[in-house]
Amino acid sequence: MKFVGALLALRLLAAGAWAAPDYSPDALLRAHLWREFTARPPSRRPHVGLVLSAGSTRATAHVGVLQVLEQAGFPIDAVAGTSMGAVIGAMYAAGRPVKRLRDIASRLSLRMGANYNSFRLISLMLADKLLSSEKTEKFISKEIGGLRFDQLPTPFACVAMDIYTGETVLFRDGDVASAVRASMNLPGVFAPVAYRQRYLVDGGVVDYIPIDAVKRLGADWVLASVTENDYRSARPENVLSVLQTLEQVIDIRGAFLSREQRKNADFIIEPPVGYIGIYDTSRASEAMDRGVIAAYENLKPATESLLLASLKSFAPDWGLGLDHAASGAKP
Amino acid sequence: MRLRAAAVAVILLASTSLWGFWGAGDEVIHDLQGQFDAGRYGAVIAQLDPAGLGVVSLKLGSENLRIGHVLLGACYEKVGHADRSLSVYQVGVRLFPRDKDLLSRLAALLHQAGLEEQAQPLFERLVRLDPASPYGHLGLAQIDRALGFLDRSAEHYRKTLDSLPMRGDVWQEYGEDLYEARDYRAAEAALRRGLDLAPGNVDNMLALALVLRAEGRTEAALAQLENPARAGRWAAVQARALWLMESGRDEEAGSVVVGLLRRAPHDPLALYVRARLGLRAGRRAQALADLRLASAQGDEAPFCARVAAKLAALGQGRP
Repeated sequence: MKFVGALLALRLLAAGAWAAPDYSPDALLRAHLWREFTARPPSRRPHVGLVLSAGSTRATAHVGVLQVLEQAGFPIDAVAGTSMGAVIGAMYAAGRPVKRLRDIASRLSLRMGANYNSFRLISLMLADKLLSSEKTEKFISKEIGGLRFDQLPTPFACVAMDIYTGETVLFRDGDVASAVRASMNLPGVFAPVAYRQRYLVDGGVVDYIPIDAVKRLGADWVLASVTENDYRSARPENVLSVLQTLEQVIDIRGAFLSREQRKNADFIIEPPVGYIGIYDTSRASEAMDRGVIAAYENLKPATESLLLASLKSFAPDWGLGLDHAASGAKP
Repeated sequence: MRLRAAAVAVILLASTSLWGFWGAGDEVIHDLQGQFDAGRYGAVIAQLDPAGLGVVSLKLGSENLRIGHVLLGACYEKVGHADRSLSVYQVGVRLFPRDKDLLSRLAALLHQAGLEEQAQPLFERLVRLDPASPYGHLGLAQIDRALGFLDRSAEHYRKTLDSLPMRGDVWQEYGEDLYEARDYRAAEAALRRGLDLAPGNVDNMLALALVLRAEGRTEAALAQLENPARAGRWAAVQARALWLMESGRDEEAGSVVVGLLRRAPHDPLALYVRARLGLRAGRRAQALADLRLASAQGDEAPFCARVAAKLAALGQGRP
């Protein structure tokens, strides 16, 4: 039987051989240019911006995307996020390890970020009294040590919406935790957050994929991780349910926004999590795994896209005669 | 790679003769085993599955029925009917859900066909039945690696190697996995162990060269490329030209490129290296011509072609 087993191992090795390293000319050139890219200081190559879309539980897939990017040594010079993307982005920008983000996301529940219990839910339904998201702020503040935006190791921005004016509010300074709370403050569930004479709700209804935000942080090349809902296949089970109907409206709005905004990204990673509902927190681990798989599948094309965009900043050093100002590199 | 897989499958199928026989139908199975060993796969199939439905239709005792499924599945694989083989193993696994041999075969067949979502739970079941199962762990390692879960795959490789420490090819895969996870020191150790066990393995040498280069040990990496290059691995020669240029050894890089272009005048990577060397030496017109030629090799190397096209455009003042 041992002989049979050894042969089975051989067969498995043959089956897995397709996963062996790639020694094609493209792979060798990619590795060569990547070495050049990563050896340069950020001032002499394009700044890489990472955008993490809204998406509530679906957006935990961003943790899987971050896991792959970090594993590959993909530089991230700035991060922007909306809603759950803001929660994950803030913690990443604060230097929290991806493993820790995974631990947090895998324990995700509505109770983590809200004063949610049966009594509160009845209040929400019958007395029109929204939940408070204060616990989110406390949790994030504790997790990132109460940092302000200017203290984050990686520049970060997030967005919320002014419930009176419909304006997009971009957060780039002040206390990070309170900004993130506003950004993920789901309308119709959580009470608007009072902040600098405004009442703020989740930024996902106005800026689902905050690409402009990361560009304002200096990003030249933007990678967006997008976790929009596939509202055509993930229909609410009960259209008479307040929460489910609200979820559907938010998701449809997000999907419409996403269609326009995604055009401004240089590369998109889109984990297939559209079937996961906003409150379906038991599927967070599944979403993260899907994030890993989607990011890993897209790692080579994303790298190639970034390298092609970087050639302009490499060219002058290679004797291609462009002056520094025309190269796109930062001074 | 397909040839390698096919060759391995042939050896695996030949190993079917090692099973023991007991219970109802002993003589029948023994006879079928003899026919299998003699290469009369069609005859075995005709007796076990006369209707060609992928089902063992003989009445056999439990253990012989199990062997019958393995034998029929193996015969169908042997004659190139993987679909029927799959069906036989699936029925076998339903009848004998705790049988590690049938589970391994079904999982391996699905894995080989790239049906990882179906293969993964079978390998997991195999590992639950036998927590040390090297084949279960190896299958899971490969699937996790292909999907991007490099930390999990490394763990499965380690468990495989606990049981199969003398398998150079498993050490090689483990080293490649660690390289991808950028754990270069551990990757080097694993690949060196793989080379100790299989000294002529050119793929292992190439992988080790990549690791050494990633560690910043360019000289050692270049030296590691020599054997694969001598063995005719074109990629080793291309890498040598590229890495020599990277380390500023332009004259040596140039002579490697001359050799490459003599044998393959349109090699896109060699043209790229010659263009970069030309730019350094002030031969701009020649460099741009090389880039333009490389940019036309999109069928062979689409990324090389796009890089060359972009650089050529930049060189002509079109950012």
